[in-house]
Amino acid sequence: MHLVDWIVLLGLSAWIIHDGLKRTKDSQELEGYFLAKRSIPWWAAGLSVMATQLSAITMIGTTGQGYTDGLRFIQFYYALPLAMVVLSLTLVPFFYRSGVYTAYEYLETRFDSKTRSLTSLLFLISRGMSCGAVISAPAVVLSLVLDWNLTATALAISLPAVVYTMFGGVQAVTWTDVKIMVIIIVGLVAVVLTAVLGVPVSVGDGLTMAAATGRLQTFDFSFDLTNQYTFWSGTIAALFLFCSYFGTDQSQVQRYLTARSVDEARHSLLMSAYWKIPLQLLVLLLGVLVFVFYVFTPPPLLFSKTETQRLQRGEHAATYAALESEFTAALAARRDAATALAAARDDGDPGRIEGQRAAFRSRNQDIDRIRARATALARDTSRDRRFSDVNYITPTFILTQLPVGLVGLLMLAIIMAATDTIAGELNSLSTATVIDFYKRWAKPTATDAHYLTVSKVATGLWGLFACAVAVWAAELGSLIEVVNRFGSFFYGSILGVFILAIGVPFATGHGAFVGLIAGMSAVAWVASSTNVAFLWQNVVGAVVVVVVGIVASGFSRKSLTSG
Amino acid sequence: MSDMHRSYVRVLATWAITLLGLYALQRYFS
Repeated sequence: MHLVDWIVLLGLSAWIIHDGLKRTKDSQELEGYFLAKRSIPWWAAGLSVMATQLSAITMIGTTGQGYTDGLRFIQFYYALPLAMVVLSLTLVPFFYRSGVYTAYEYLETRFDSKTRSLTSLLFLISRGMSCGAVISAPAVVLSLVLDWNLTATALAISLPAVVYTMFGGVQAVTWTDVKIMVIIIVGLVAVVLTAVLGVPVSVGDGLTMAAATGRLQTFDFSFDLTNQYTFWSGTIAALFLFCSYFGTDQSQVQRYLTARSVDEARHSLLMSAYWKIPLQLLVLLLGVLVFVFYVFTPPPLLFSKTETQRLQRGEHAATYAALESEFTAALAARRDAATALAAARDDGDPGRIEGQRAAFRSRNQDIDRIRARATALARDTSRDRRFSDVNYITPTFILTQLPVGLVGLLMLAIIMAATDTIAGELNSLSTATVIDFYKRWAKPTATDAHYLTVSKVATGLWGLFACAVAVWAAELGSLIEVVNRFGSFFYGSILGVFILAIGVPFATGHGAFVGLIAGMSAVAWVASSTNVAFLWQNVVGAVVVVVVGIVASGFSRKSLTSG
Repeated sequence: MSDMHRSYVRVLATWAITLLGLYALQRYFS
């Protein structure tokens, strides 16, 4: 990176963190530290909700997915606005008016302590490990792309989050989130403009090329339970996931509990309802436009510089060299087909346009086949079966095509996207640890100052844990996958418990607890024995918990009455 | 209708328009 980029990166990071800490007030009290004394304006809480959800994986992985796969992934978010309305009508007023610090605390008021402790523990395990994944995934890519040390990169991402979350609490988290969201949006728009301005044809011609390869598909109406990205999974199954994520996951719930009133808490959620789909469209469209850019500017065969160098020096060097020659010829043929398609569009003859679209699609398939062979060679050479070139596309485009200054801004956006996600998660992990376990079981009565010290220590310890998981992620690879998979087992199930809590007046604590265990077991069985897509597993979890919970509540009431 | 309910209606209307726009994008370029 150029010196100017370093100045932008370091200068803006220092300002964001310093300003976030400066805006912190009343953080010497527990309610100020965890809930900002419910003083955050709705738009700041709303931006914080969006920033916590938008991680560096979105900036690197989702944009790369837009490049290779197009807009298909947008369907995943179709139910989000509906979920926000449902939550604003149901869970948000319950949480806000009951004055709780954590979502799980509410379950003890409604059911019992064991249901609260189990749900909170499940949150701590899954979020603690996912924090490590949130750091390690971009750290691996950035360290390779920028030639930085992996440990130093992981620490550069996580340490600022630990420091400002520990000392500033939820207010520092929220105000840094606001600035980071602005930087991310400016950065995304800058990349889109760079891609558009670098293409010698009109935006309409470029999008026609993307559409010819299926990259503008935004609706798939096929009903296939094994396919994650269809209209039906995006509207029905994802509704359960989003209700669970935004309604029962402490990392999200805590963001809107800081709002000034219940209506402001609702408005902060509705902000995502308006902006999440357009924002995700921008992220995916960026990938699509980078694809169009590379139709006219020759891309590398593999975007990962490290894998390319390894291949050029390894046992498959000759095969790779031959593939590169084949790739160069195929790129020229695709570029010619693209130019012919643009000319046909100018001409306006529908028959000729259709013919050129088919020719372009065919030339692009040739390139996809060559890239697939190169990826297979890279996997074989590195003995890494999980290697995917997708994550290297956007960082490579940024580093090679963006002007000086913007490179620093975009690197800051990627690093800070990870940092703010971790900060939000550390803050919520610390809250759940102190409120649901330490204060509930270990020391029910103590001064605010005491709980505050414990909260800061908990934030620091969770930060250290996340750093350790991130640094040793390569060794822990399969373990992180197992834990993340385990986490996905209970999203729908926890939602089921909350549905029982507010929707089934006669549900008992015992019934909810039995339902939760049954729901998680059912999802574990579906995940291990069928090919049903992850989104539908949330529906299974929620439905099983509610049905079993109702039956078990009936039995427990009966035994109470007869006893 | 309260202010909050009007907000929900606006969200749902925006959602429907967004989805129609995305469908139009797919249809126009395919």
